Amino acid sequence: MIASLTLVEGIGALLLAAGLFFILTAVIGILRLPDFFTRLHAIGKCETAGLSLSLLGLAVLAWDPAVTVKLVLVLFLVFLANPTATHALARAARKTDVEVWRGDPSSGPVGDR
Amino acid sequence: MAVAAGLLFGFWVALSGKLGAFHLVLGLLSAVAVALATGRLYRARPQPMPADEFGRAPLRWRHFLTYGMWLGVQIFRSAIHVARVILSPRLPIAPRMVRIADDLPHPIARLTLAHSITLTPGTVTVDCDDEGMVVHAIDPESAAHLGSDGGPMADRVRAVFHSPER
Repeated sequence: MIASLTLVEGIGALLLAAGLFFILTAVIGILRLPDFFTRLHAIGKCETAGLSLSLLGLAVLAWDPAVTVKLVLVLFLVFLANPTATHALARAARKTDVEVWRGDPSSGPVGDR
Repeated sequence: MAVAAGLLFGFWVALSGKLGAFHLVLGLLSAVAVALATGRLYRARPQPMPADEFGRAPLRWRHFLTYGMWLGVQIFRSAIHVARVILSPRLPIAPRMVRIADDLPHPIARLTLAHSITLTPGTVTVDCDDEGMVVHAIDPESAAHLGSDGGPMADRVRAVFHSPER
């Protein structure tokens, strides 16, 4: 019983650590990346994965159906809401003509603008 | 709207598991507030998905499930891809806006493609109009993967929604 409990705790801790790694990376990305759209990549992808892994880790650590079910519901919400919020932000930025960073002049627009 | 409030209240009670007056009143107020705030969303009737030429249901559930699982994996591949870019000392990005033309027949199929582009490595869907979608790609490789018409991913979405082959 005790051995299986520590295994569960170990998996939970690993998932949490992986989640925190991605959230930290998203923050570093916000600081390093040059413009609005590239920063959206950091938030839209790294943070979604980081948040999902953290929630999964917490769900495993809680190891209680009532809590785990709620956390999994939050996980679905994150999966749906995060890309949607990313679209909304990107669309608003495009509509208000936020400049697209193209560090290399040869990487010009293809098709659009 | 009363139906929505009722369902939301039931959901509240099921999740909270607390039956005291305080929690029930709080749940009732929340359910009514959310139902009022979101009521107009239920009134908008989406256009129904058309059946294909053989009269089959437009959504293939088995394809839908495998597609969902594939997409669940993509978000982590995608995060690893961006993490490598961010943590690489020379920050290897060459972002660009690309336009892709999609010929998916139904708004829900297009929504699925737009979401999928956002969840796969290196690309974020920015806008969607009558002619197609505008996608921001963080490097040329990610843009090339989509091609000019959504590439293999559009084919996957097409398979889920029983759309006519190209």
